[in-house]
Amino acid sequence: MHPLWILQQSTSVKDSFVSTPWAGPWLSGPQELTWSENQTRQHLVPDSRMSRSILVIPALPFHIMLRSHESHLFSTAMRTMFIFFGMLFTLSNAEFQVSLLKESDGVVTGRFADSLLLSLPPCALATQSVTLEYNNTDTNESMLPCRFRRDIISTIENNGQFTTSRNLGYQVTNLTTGSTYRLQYVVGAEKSNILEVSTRQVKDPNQIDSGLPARSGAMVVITVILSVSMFILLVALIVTVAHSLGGD
Amino acid sequence: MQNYSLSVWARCSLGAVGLEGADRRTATMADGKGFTCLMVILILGNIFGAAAGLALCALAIWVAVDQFKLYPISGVSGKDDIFAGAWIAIFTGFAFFCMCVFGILAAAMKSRALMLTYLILMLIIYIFECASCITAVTHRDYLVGNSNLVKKQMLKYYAADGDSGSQITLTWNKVMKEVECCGTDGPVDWIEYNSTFREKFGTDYPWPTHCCKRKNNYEVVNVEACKNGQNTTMFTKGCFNHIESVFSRYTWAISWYGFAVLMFMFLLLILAMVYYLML
Repeated sequence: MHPLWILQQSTSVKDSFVSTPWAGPWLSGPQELTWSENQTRQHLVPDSRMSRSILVIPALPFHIMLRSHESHLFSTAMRTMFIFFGMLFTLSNAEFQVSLLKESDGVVTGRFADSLLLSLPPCALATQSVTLEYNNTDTNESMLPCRFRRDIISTIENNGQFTTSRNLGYQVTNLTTGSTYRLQYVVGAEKSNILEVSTRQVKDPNQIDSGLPARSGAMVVITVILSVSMFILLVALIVTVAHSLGGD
Repeated sequence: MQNYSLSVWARCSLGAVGLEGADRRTATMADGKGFTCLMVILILGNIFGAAAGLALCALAIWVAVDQFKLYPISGVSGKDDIFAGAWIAIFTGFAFFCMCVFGILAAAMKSRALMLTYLILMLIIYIFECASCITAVTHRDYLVGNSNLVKKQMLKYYAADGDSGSQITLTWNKVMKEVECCGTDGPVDWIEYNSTFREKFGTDYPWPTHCCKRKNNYEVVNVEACKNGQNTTMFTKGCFNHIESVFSRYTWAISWYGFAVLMFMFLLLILAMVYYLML
């Protein structure tokens, strides 16, 4: 029995990475990977030689058992099967999340007075065309703009050796100030959740109250003590002069 | 010559109060050990007071010079008495120095007239120095108690026409560039409020380009990224912390150090009055 373990903690709950068996003279032949889901057993026998590779197994509640055979471990047919099962699980959660960009995403704010910064749809839906539907809840006009490349916000980092370009989000422009919008991505058959946000209402700076906020402790201490000391000195001087004159 | 003129003045002042021709009161306590001790204390105290007064003068010159060049923020708002207090402190500091030297002379010569002159003049200088301390600390509270006044002034005067506008614009540009900050509490100030800057230049640039990071040749690193508000290409902290710390530093120099000098002078003057009574 070869030991089999999960190679690394996968970041998604859908996939897990399983170790390949140790190299050894008994592993020169084809291996087969068996797993069972809900008590039904399925196994795939590879039919062509493949080099060692990392296999992505969809979803954790599988029981996985590895059985060695004569040839190498994995084949393209097996890989397609696994991806197919993976897709099954992905499609079952058809709604993806859209949100405003926050400070943790690398921007100052996601809400401007006349535009909003939205997160992009997940990478799994890349290369498909996306439509953004949004409507102004006050006036109820709907807009269906095309996805313009230039409104994508991307960061470009260049450290002298290579340049990395990363897409941060999408900027929806030409909005009215201070109104609420409902936004939703539509990618083919999938929709995102409906995000309801409002653009910033621009305030009048004359409304800022710039009067004296509060008297600080330093101010009170200095004023009180100095005033008292001034008074004492004045009285003492008058008394001194009067005494000296009276004494004469 | 000086002694003669001083004693003439003393006789005149004594004559003015109707003691013309009267003998000086015989100093019954003038020969005691306590008297000598008091005189020595007074002389030493005046030496220390002279040094303290000179230091006050120097410190006030530092405040008046305003190395951080933030005067327009207080000047345009009309609350510039931190600097007025500094100017008063330059003169009172130097006056304390002169009077303390005179006090050494008066104590050593055991002269009543000189001591009286010393007491009256020191009291006048004391009152002026009190005014300087109190006004400096009060105006600091007005200016930087919270960020509202500085924010309102920035929104109103940045990029405005006129002398105030150009002064504020230059000051803010300098602060944003050197301290690497944007806005009063943050860049959000520029988009949260309407401002002269927004009315002049529209909403294409949400904040001035001085908020953006620049390369060594003063070129903006990435204008589009700065307009979107990406953290890596612009300054995201507010400038108010720096402005507040500068004005507080000036104020503590004038008001707290002035306060310390005044407390010392208070004790010195009380001792001088006792000495005067013993003369």
